[in-house]
Amino acid sequence: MWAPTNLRVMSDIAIRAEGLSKKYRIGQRGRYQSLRDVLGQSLAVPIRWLRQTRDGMQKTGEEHSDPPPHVFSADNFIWALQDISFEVRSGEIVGIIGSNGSGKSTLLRVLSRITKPTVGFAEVRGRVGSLLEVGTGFHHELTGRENIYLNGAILGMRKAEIARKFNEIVAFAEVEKFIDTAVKHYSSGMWLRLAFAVAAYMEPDILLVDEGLAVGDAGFQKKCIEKIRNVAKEGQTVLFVSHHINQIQALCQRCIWLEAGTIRIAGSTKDVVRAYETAFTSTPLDASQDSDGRRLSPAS
Amino acid sequence: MEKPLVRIAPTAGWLDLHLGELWEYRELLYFLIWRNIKVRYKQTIIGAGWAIVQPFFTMVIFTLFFGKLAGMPSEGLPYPIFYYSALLPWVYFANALNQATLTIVEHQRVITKIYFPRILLPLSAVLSGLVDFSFAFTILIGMMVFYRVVPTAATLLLPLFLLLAISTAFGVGLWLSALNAIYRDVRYAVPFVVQCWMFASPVIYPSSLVPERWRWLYALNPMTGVIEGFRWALLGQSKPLGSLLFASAGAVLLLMAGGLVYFQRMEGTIADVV
Repeated sequence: MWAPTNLRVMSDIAIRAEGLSKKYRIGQRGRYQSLRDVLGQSLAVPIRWLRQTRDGMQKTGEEHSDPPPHVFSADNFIWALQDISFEVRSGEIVGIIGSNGSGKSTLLRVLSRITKPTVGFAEVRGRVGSLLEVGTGFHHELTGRENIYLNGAILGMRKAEIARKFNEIVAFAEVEKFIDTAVKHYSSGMWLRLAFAVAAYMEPDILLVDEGLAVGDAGFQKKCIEKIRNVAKEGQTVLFVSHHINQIQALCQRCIWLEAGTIRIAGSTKDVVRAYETAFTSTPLDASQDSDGRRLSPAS
Repeated sequence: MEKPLVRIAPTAGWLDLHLGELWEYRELLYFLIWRNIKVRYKQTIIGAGWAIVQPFFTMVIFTLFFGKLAGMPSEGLPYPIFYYSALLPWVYFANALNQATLTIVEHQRVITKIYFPRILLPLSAVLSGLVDFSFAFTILIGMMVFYRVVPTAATLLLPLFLLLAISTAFGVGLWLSALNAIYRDVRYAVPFVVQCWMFASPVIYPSSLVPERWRWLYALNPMTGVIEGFRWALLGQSKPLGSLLFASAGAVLLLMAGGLVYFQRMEGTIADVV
């Protein structure tokens, strides 16, 4: 249940977002701008303007041609996040659900400081660890030992800290025999285990987990979930993005449902999941099917 | 213990360096440099020898063609040492620029998944070249012994000129790394620009070859200050540097300031475009 706001101690808030919004440009995405293109477009602007003016004088009341792509118009932008505000208290596990493209990953990227918001702000108290993908920064030419140090440093751990946890990391990953071999010789399973092991021993105050972590075999997935559960038990805050409703229900006390960049509903996991499932089963895909998907006979 | 509070907001103001944060990530800088060096020489036979090959053989070619064949002036110094003393900082600079241009795009996967101060990437690219520099420097010492060149007190100022070279590489590298992430054709222009830049620097010829009235423009090239400084510090050239150096240093400061501002403004959203 929700605690009244005025009873909360300010330092108890681990994450606070206010009016967080993120705008992305679409259209030119996926096609890298080259300097040549930009120069060409800049030169074309006066020519196009002259042409428009000339046409405008000849044909009145007609639509002007489309503005050049670098001119910011409403069609070129999408708000991946719009006015997101929420608070997460220290020690809570909060799930984030929503369909693809609802802004879940964008929210994690903004909170991980990978990209800056367009409008609004967030305040994050404590060390943030993002498990958006494991093995980031691994170099295939380096050995397992070297990659543990490199990856750990990228994740924000101190060298002394990594040295201290080194043996535990290797034991967790079960790669003792191969620790001094170049990782390009590792199987994908060993690779994943090692990468996750380094991330697992990060011990951040706030852990952000993205659904992309749900790769690997069943044993590995189980290890991931276990680790997240243990992390939460130690009083760390977790933001968990997932499509697996049962995982959310198992781990999270609170839940936020994002849709098209805005918060559709936020509250206890039970309430949000119920609303989420109702929304998806109440509109039948096919009028000749009942809610379980069984075909209705023409007579009924 | 009170946990640090971090505010995530759109970029504000002209310059917001977060020097405290850079200090916190100092170990990552060390690891990035260490990784660059390790990876560069893994699975190579000659290993560190490659750092010597480039300046040394360029010096041989220059001695043959510009020295012996074309008869370029060399202010009384033997050709090999005249060219090598300039090639030493030049090769460092050229390689640092090429590395810095590519570094953000090379780290595309890392940047889009994890946060760390992005400025560490061009910084580590520029500093990694110093290891190659130190290997090539040993050859220079050998040459100085061979040609019986005695170092003077001015040699103590050599680190200053090296710092000037590093600053130039870093200042320009900041621009190039950010630009290349946005406009992918920048990386093709850079080797060509570096080639032209070499001809605009006193590598092949002494700066005394430049007419007096153009000397001020020539000095705005920071590498002019670096190379003349190297020759002066190592080989005891008679003429002092004076205003040439100030012009070069001033240009470097401008480049770095501009680079820092541009990079810092791009940093927040570079993960969206890379």
